Amino acid sequence: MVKISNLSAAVTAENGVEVPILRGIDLEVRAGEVHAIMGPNGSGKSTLARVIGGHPAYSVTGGGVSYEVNLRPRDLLRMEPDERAKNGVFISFQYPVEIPGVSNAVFLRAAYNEIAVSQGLPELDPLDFEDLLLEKLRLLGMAEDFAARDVNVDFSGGEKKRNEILQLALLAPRLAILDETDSGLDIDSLKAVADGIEKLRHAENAFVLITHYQRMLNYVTPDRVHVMYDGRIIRSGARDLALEIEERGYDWLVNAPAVPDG
Amino acid sequence: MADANPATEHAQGLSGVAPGSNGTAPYVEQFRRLYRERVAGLAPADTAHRAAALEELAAAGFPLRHDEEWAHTPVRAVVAPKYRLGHVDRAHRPTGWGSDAVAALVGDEPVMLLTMNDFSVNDLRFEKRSGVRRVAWNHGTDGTEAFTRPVGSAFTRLARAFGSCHEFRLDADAGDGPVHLVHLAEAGVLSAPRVRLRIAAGARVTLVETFAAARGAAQDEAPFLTCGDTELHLGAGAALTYVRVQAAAAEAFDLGSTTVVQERDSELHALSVAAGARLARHTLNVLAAGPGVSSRLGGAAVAGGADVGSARQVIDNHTYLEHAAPNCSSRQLYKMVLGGGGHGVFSGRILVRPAAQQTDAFQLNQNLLLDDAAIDTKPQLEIGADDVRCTHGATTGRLNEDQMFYLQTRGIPRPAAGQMLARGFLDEVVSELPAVALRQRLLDLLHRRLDRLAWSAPA
Repeated sequence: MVKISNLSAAVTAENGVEVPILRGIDLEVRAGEVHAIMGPNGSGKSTLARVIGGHPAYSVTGGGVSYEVNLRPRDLLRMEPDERAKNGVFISFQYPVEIPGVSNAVFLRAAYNEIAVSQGLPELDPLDFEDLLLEKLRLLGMAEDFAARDVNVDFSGGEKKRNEILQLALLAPRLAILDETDSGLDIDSLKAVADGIEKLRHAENAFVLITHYQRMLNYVTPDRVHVMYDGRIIRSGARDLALEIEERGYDWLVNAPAVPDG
Repeated sequence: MADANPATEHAQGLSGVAPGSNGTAPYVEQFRRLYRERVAGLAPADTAHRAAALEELAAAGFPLRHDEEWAHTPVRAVVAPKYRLGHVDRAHRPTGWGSDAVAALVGDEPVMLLTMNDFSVNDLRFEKRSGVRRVAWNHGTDGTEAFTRPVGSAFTRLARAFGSCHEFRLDADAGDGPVHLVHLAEAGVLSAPRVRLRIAAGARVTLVETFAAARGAAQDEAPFLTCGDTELHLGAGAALTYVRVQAAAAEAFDLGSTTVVQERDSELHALSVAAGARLARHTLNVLAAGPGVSSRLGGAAVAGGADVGSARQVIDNHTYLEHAAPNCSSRQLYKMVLGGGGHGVFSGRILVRPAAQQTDAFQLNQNLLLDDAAIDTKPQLEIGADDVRCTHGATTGRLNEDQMFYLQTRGIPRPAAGQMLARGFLDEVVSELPAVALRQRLLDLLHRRLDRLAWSAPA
């Protein structure tokens, strides 16, 4: 579904100096798979998510991302951020943005309709959309007042993360990259978020879970686990790798020679 | 920041402009010629107050840029065009309430006064509503005398010289559903309707005053000038929601003013919505005359973008809120979205008299700039009492790129994302209105205007 090849990216600091963050990422994710990307703070995990989403603050300095649309590979990096979303790419935010004055219902319907129309599906009017929204809220066990509240404004940390999962449920992407959706959550919120992901995964979509801790992986079982450090994937393995990291930390990996996925 | 001697300044004249020619005499002459046409056939006794206003105008002239209060208003562009007096005949009469032009402005809500080119064409169109009475115009009082600072300008003098006069009383049983005043004007016309409403003690009223073009005026039509002057007197414990809407086409000049006097324990919620006009300068004067008064002032405006052509479009809110009695609170929130060529002005004066202890006054002006728009914002606090809380602030920013990116990652293209953020920004001011249909019409008006800004321009 998506193939990231030797991807390098940098951010331009305030003094104009380009700071490299990603230093050659290789990663392939297939339909139906769940991958976990782990790594210490500052390893470039969130940057990877933002580059795939098309954040304007980052410049790609090498490599590429090939994303399959209608069974044909396309250069994801050449698409505008909204075009990526319309083609089924979803990035959840570690810190979901607050948008005062815009209700969740207005925002979500606009997003849903943009994506639906681009895929040849009918637009939903406010009443029909409300039905769909209520259905998704119930599926995720969320309060109905989410619809009327302004986007992420005065949401608790847990509510913001659940709002991301609600968007995931509504927009039904093919490739979802969830950036530390588990961070800052109490155990109930974590279970709710993980439960949402479990309900939404199927054979035609794929998830990449970016996480600092492995506790999320107790509830969502990954097919592959990758460890990022200093802008590279330094180790890939099966689910056991996450458990080993929980036990031993990252240092033993950082000091070991890189082992490619395989 | 105690006020040194307000009485002295008041003595200088109603506008604060020193008498004498300031180079605007040729413009005044134009209005003098028009005035002779205005009063032709009327008995001098009936027009003495009008003549006096004209002479005041002639003495003070029109304000120019070096007058600080008018530094951002292109007055020459306003007074230089040749205007004509309006006329009204059967062909100009909006045909009943099926009239699309009026219905688009008021829906199916009652209209108590409709003026066309400053002629009243349909007075008091709500016979079925009790509690609203038209009364004879009284030239004796105009509500402005009690303010410390001068209230009035060359344009309120134009209104007093030219305007048709309409005075109403609203009693406690008038009902609080929206009631409308609608002023329409055609290309090239000077119109300056004067409206005075006395709202009885304890009454609860929602009043909407709309200024609009009589037809969809095309860009190449002659500009028209409206300088309506509205006075609102709130009796003790009365509650008034007053919405002033500027919905005219791009060639309109609107320099209207609203003056409010609030008696004890009355509540005012005044909202100024500007979605049109090449120049829309609304002056709002509020006197919190009695104790326990609450005054909430708000503004939502859009300027600039595709409508403007070569001239800058100016949206200007001038507020003057005077706290004259203890235990009053005021809250002001003015927001503008400015596209290319737009110029937003906010000037908010708060004056707290020595007697007005326990005043709680808050003022905030927030602006969203797109393209090469300009903003001038100026708070002015004059506080004569020591036990008060007065806060003010102003912010001006561009679209938040984190919010833009968030919306784009959800499939919303950049132009639509910008529109959504601008709507959210403005809606806060309007969404405080409890009247659902009115609120939705105002939101639609602002949203349609926002849609005409250049959203696909690069960041």
